[in-house]
Amino acid sequence: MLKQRQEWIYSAVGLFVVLSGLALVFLIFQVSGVKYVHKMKTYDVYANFNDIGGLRVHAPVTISGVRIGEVASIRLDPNALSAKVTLRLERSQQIPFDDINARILTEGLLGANYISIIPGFDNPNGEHPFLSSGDMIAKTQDAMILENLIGQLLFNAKK
Amino acid sequence: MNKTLIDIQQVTLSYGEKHIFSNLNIQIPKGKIIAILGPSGCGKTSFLRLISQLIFATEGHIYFEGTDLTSLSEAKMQDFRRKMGFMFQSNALFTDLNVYENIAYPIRVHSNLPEDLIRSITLMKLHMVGLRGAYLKMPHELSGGMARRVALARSLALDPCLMLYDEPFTGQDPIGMRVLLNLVKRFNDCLNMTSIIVSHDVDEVCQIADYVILFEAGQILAQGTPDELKNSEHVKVNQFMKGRLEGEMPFHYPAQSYYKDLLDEPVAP
Amino acid sequence: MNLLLRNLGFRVIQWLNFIGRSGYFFVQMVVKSSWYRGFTQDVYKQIYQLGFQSLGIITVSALFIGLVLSLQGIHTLEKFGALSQLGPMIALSILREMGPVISALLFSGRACSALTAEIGLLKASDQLDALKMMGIDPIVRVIIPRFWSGVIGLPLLNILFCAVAIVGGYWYCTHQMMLDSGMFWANTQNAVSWELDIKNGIIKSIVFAVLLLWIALYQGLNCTPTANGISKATTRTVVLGALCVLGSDFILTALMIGDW
Repeated sequence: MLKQRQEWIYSAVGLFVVLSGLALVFLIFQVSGVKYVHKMKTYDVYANFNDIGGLRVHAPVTISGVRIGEVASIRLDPNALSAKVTLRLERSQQIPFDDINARILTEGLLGANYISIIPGFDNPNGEHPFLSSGDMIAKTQDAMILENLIGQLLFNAKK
Repeated sequence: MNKTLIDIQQVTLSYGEKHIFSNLNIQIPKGKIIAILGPSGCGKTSFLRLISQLIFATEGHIYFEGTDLTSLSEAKMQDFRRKMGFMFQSNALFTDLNVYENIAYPIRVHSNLPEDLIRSITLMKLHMVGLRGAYLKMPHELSGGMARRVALARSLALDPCLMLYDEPFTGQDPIGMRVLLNLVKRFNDCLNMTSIIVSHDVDEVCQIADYVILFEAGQILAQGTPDELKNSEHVKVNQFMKGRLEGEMPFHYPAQSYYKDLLDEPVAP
Repeated sequence: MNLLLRNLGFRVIQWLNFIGRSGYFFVQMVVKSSWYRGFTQDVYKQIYQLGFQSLGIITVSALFIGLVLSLQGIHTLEKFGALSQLGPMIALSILREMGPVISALLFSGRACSALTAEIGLLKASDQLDALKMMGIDPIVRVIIPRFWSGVIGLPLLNILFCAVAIVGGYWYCTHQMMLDSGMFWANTQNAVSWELDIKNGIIKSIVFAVLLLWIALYQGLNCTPTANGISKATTRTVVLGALCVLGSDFILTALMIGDW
């Protein structure tokens, strides 16, 4: 009698743990969208902005709307008193470096800020053809600040 | 060879201002059956719990085979407790285990014996109390007498040298009582143990006891062989042993005058 | 006036005493865990009783919570034209707050009250003393397996709760309200992060489990061994447990809010 009950208890506990394991797998892959188990190799590049608006750490970095990385950190550059943003990019493709541009855009009309990179010219035979670790993106465009826009509008309307 | 198993020296037990024992001195001889008698509330169960250190004395020392139990840590005391068997008034059987598992439990915890050896030992203990056939029953399926005997078998599982019985004969039918008396006596003699029995059944216990200690209000009123106490000239001892209503043992709990309570304003609780 | 001060002083000392004794009990539990030898069947039995047998109430409650969240969410987000955010709303509310807290409260009511009552009854029927008399420490044999089983069981229950609730919400949104399944999952996956949301939720659950089991086991061990005493201890477990869960949830959320 005791043995039977003991066997049943073992099976039930096993079932319980397996069910929770499946639930965890579901949560990780279906709900949070983790696509790869191993950590993708990443590299960091930098960009300075005069006004980052509402940009936050972990905001996406995109090219043509496709996510290629995220904002790793935002710091104040003590020398230039501008915002130094670290972009952590995935090593999936090469991005032409010549004349590369980074802009802060808004999702929708009033949504969160993210960074969009416009790749530079294709110049495979140049000195520094592709974006690589430690590079500083020189051309940047700040976030659109609503108050500035309204100010401009009013100023123009007055004229 | 030292004849004293337990030496209790100047033990005081008190809860706040209430003294259970003051300055108690007792020697328990080895190999005998000692009966602890006394009116209700005189501290008999506390006495047993003191010896097994389930409660701690406020002052004094308790020596067991020469070691001072009051100075031991809880972990070391546990080693000593394996030499003691305690039979609880309520049996205290493990309600979620059957009879076999109840008795096998202490053996399993304290040894690495293989399963078939544990089976042999457990069935032997059950056979000693006559319940080998009931080994699969659950505690709530047992009658009072059977539960008592299982508790007895369980306390003997580790072959202790000291057995402590807390009111073992309460609520037993005459045959059951006789069976238990018989078992206690036989185990004590055959297994070379010392037994301390706390009981109210004066006549029954005196049939098997070698030595009797009579408590009253935390003090030893009298001690001696059962015959000595039965024939004692002391009024209180005589009243207790014969179970008489008249005598010096008070019936009334101390209270103010009856007249005052009934007719005057009683003191609010 | 003097009497009031004396009473107050007495209460403070009583309270300090309580903190001290329960702290000592907790330390005993942790330190003596290494003394526990063999008898893993005890732990299995406890996980079965505390975990597996709670599956019923946890999954059914999770289903209802998921359905209610989606119902309320649709009703409110519709007004802002933000139905696309329904998936993230459901998933994040559940993973971050409702999952850990509600599963902990349900666990407290079902499993912890039963624990307190069981241990109180063991104490009242002298079984704990009987263990002591066999040279077995009741904390090692009785308390510790229950503690670790609960600490393992509640986080697992939390994970199941979250999964069932999210699936329930998903089912309601897509099959009853005919929302787009692809949009639901896409937005959810964008918004939910494994490290920040799921992991933090599990950490919360582990903290809740430790607190709840500590309270339940302590109350059981230190109750007055009468029927009245056990019932009082059981209610104290549930009430104190609920308060501790909610209070520590606030503290944990405050610590974790930086991540979010």
